[in-house]
Order: sequence, then structure tokens, then C-alpha cells
Amino acid sequence: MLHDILAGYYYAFQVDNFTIIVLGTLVGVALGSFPGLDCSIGAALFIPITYGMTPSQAILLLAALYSGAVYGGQIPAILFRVPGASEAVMTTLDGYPMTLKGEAGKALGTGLLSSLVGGLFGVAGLTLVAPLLANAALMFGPSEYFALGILGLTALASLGSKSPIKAIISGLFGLLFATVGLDPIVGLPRFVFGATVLKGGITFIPAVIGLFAAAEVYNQISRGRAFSRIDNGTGNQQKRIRITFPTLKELKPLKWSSLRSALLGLIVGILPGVGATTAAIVGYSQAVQFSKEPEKFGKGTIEGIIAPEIANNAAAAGAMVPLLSLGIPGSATTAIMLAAFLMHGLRPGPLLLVQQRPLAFTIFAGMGLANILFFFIGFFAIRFFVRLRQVPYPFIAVGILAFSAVGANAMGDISGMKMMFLFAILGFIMEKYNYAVAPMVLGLVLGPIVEPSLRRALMIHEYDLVAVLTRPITAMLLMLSMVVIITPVYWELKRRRASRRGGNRGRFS
Amino acid sequence: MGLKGEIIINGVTFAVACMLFYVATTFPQLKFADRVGPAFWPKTILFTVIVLSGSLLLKNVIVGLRRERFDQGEVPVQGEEGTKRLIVAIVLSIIYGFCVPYGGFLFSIYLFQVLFLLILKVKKVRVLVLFPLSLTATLYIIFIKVLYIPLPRGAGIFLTFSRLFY
Repeated sequence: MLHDILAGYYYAFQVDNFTIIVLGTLVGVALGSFPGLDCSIGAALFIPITYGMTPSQAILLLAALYSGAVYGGQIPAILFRVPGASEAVMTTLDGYPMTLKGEAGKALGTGLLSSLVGGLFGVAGLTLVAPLLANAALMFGPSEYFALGILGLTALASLGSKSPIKAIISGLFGLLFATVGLDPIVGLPRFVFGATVLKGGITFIPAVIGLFAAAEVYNQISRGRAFSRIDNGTGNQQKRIRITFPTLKELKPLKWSSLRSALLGLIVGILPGVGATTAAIVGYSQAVQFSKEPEKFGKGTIEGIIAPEIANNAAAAGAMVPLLSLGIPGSATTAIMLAAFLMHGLRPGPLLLVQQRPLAFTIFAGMGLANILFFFIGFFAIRFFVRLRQVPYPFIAVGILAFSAVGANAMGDISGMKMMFLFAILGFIMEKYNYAVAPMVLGLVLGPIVEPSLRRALMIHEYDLVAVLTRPITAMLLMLSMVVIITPVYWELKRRRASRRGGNRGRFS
Repeated sequence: MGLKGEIIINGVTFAVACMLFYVATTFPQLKFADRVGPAFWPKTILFTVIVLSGSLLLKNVIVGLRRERFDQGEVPVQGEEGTKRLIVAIVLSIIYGFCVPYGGFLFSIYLFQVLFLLILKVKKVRVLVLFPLSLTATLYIIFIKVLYIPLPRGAGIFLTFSRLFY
């Protein structure tokens, strides 16, 4: 294991790989620090650029971009109360009040340090857990893979949206889009409607670029935000920023809270579909719960920045565990990474950690390096990232659309570009009516895993569905899927009942 | 987002799922794979979509009847200007998709950017000329010079123009 880790760092430090990690981290921080652009959009836009790279370089770029973007989200969250990425939503609660108190530099320094600690903890967890999980997954058969795919889909569908039913429908349409083209087992065409271009199936990358990147531009235009200049905060505030770190005396009492946040973040990140945003919420909540002075939260305490930032950065690394060890993406960004793996002829999963061990450990090392790099980038270039907010949105919008169009064209000729625009329009309509797009992307990625697995499992068990579904691990995973679906519905019903009761009480009192 | 819009979107989802379910029933079957043939998985998915979208539709209709607000609908959230510009932006994107094979990548992407900036209310001529030019140059360097991706060259005079560069 130690040999693999050292080999991973050796490869990651090769000049070309290291340059790519620096570039990915820089772009990631820039994307994260700009509200409206997040790591999913960045990863979707950058996939075509990885076309000319080696597989390890491509994944390193996307992994570094991911790590950088999760950190970058805290910059506008602290300075302007606008989280650059959803992961930084809890950081606004104490970060912005600190800025108002004239402690912006300290808030940014605390966030930077916490991101580094959380990220490195997450990468250490990823390096230890992923190989263990992959070893266990080597025993998985088609029925277990089917159940894993369903778990991944239900987790994202039920947790990542305002409406669980709509999210499930979105995921199902993703699975349906994955069936377009030739049947994976008998080779007969499905949903081709006489179009030759559809025989090869829906090209995943143009679809993802359309759903994530281009659709966002249409969303901004429809809301009228694309024409307005973005609020840049106060100019003086930007000039005065100088990062300072909290003292050891301030940090010492927070060691257990930090450890809890890191552990919870890692665990939440490993769970499919939950992601870094939930990790930040969980991290913040536990910090409030265990704090001796909970009343300080929300008024500008460094603990309110440390807890969510450690948790979300640990979760970002944790989200790579199911992708690398099981081949099941746990979030929208890791789903896009899975597409990058497939584009470069690699199949993430237990065999990757057996057959391509150096590659897997280079990715772990690359993520570790990206975390160290964003620390220096954040420290020395904070003013540059703050100024990025001054770029008017029309330029960003045109940049995104031009990159999307050319990128989709590069991945799948003119038909790829047309498909990208079609999915962009679809993504816009879906967002408008609260149909989350992430489950659709996950469905598109998981479809080619779930369908053949189920059909093969049925064939092996002579079409006995009960025998397939009652295999111990399969049954356990499917039960977990049920819990994941039912829990949010149960809490929603409970919340509604409580608010109704509260309303009645108010009426009669 | 109004209730009317909800009913329309859920109705369309329901109708599309029903139509695709019918298409799935026409898939050819193979004797050896009859029980879990090509139609098995799409039909399973579509059946679930029909049930879920049907339930959403039913819920919308019941809520609508209770509120008796059917005729009034609800005020759209987005501004009229945003909607108009969005439609123009989408139409421009579609036109771009169809024009690239004839206009070639260099010319079409430049024109697309200029027009898109105009839609987004950018009026300064210097910006309208220089920003798309620099972005086109960046895309040209990344995709053609570095990644060697064969982007469309266009036809006729545009082909001649493209050949000057790649």
C-alpha cells in the first residue's frame, strides 16, 4: 500500500501531470468563486478539452478542478453572502457576519485552512477506503451491480431535489435515454425512429454539456439575470483583503468538533447521491449541537466556518470512493467524471484498482496535491478571484455557449452539437418545472450498468426475479434504496403535519 | 411557475411516456430472449414513469379543482423581456446548429457570439468585435491547433476561408 501511495505521488509530480493539476486547481477555484458556475458545469465544459490527454491526465484535471471548485465556493460566500457553489451555503452563515465585522481576512484564512484540513482528511480516507471497498466489490455479480445502480439513482433522486417524484421521473428518463440505440444483449435497435445517428445511442458528453452548462445560460437569460451587472460588493473591501489565519489558541478547543466534521463529511461523501452540500449542513449542525456556546453561531464565529468547510471538502474526496471502487458515481460531478473515464477507455470499479492500480493511486495523489495547491493559490491570489466577479455575465454566458457548442462538436460531430442544444433546451424546461437534471445525468450513466446487469442476473437465475432480488447483498442494497426513498417523504409528511398543528394551535390560542 | 404550467408539463410527460410505451411494445422479439428481451427494460421504466407522472397530474387537477383557479392561471414568474430574449437565444442556437456545416466553425462561431452578445444587451462596438474575436482565437488554438479536432470547414467561400487557417 505504501509503495502504491509513493508511486502515485511520483507520477503526480511528473512535470506534465503536475502542470495539469495546477491548471485544474486554478480553473476550479475560479469556477467556484464565480456564482452560477460550479464544478458540474466546469467538469462538463472541460471534458472535451481532455480529449487530447492521456487517461490519467484527463482524470487528474477533472479531480483537481473538483477539489478547487469546492474550496472556491467559500470566497463569495464569505465576502458577499453569495455562495459560489452550493457546497458553501453554510459558510455564509458565519463567514459574512465576520466580513461585516471587518474580519474578512480572518474568515477567508479560516476557510482556507479548514478546506485544506478537510480535503487532506478526505483524500486519506479515499486512499484507505476505496481499495478495501473495491476488494469487497470483486465478489459482486450482476444482481449486486443492478442493486448498486438503483441505490445510486434513488439516493440522488430523493435527496437532490425539491420534488422527489419529479427527481425519480428525471432519473427514469435518464435510464430511458440510455436505452436508445442497439440493445446491449441481443443487438436489436430501440427508439431509433429510423435515424441512423441514434443507432449508436445518445452520446453522453454532448448531453451532459447541454444539461449542465448550456441550460444554465438559458436559465439566467429567462430570469433576466444575464443582463444585469453582478453586485461586486464594496470596492474598498476587495482592496483591503489580506488573509490571516486563526491562532493555535483559537483552534485548540475546536479539535474534536473538527474531527467530527471531517469524519461525518467523509461518510456523507461516500454515500451515493448525498454529496458535499449535505455534508456541510451536517457538519455545521453537529458543531452547533456540541458547542458550549451555540448562541455564537450565525453571528460570525470561526467555528461556523471550520465545521462546514472541513465537512464539504472531506465529502468531495469521499464522493470519489463509490466511483473508483464500485464504478457507481455518487454525485453529478462524479457522474461526469465517469463519462471521462469511459471516453478514455477506462471502466471505474473494483477492477480499476486491481488492473490499473498506479492510475488509481495517481488520482488519489493528484487530489491530495490539488488540496495543497489551492491553499497556496487561495493565499496568494485571493484578490484575483475576488475580481473575477467583476466580469459581466454576458461574457461568461457567451463563453459557456461557445465552449459548449465547439466541445460538443468535437465529441460527436455536428449531430453531437445539435444533441447538445436539444438537451440544453430540455434542461432549461426541466429546471423551470423543478425536474432536477442531475438524476437524468446519473440515469444516463447508470443505464448501461443497470439494464444489462438485471437482464444477465435474470438469465443466470432462470428468470426467477425473487431469486435475483433476495440475494443477501442485493436485498440489503435494495432495502437501503427503499429507506433512501421513503425517509425524505416521511420527514416531509411529518414537517407538514407539524406545521399544520402549529397553524391550528396559533388559530385557537 | 403556475398550476397550469405544472398540468401541461406533467401531462406532456405522461403522454410522451404512453407513446413511448406503445413504441416499446412494437420492438422485435427474439425467441431465446423472449422473457427479458429488448422491450423488457424500457417497458419497466415507462410503466413507472406513467404511474408517477399520472399521479402528479391527478394531484395537480385535484388541487386545481379545489382552488377553482383553473381559469385564472397564475402570473408567470419570469419577466416578459427575459422570455422574449430567451426565445431569440434558443432560436439563434438552433440556427447556429444548422448553419455550421455551411458557414464553417470559424465564421459561424464568431457570428454566433456577436449576435448572442447583442441579445444580452451588449452594445459597445469595440466589445462586440474584440471579445468574440479573442474567444474564437482561443477556441481555434485549443481545439484545432492543440487537440487536432476536425471542426467543420463549411462550404463554398467559407471553405476557402477556413482552409487559410486549418
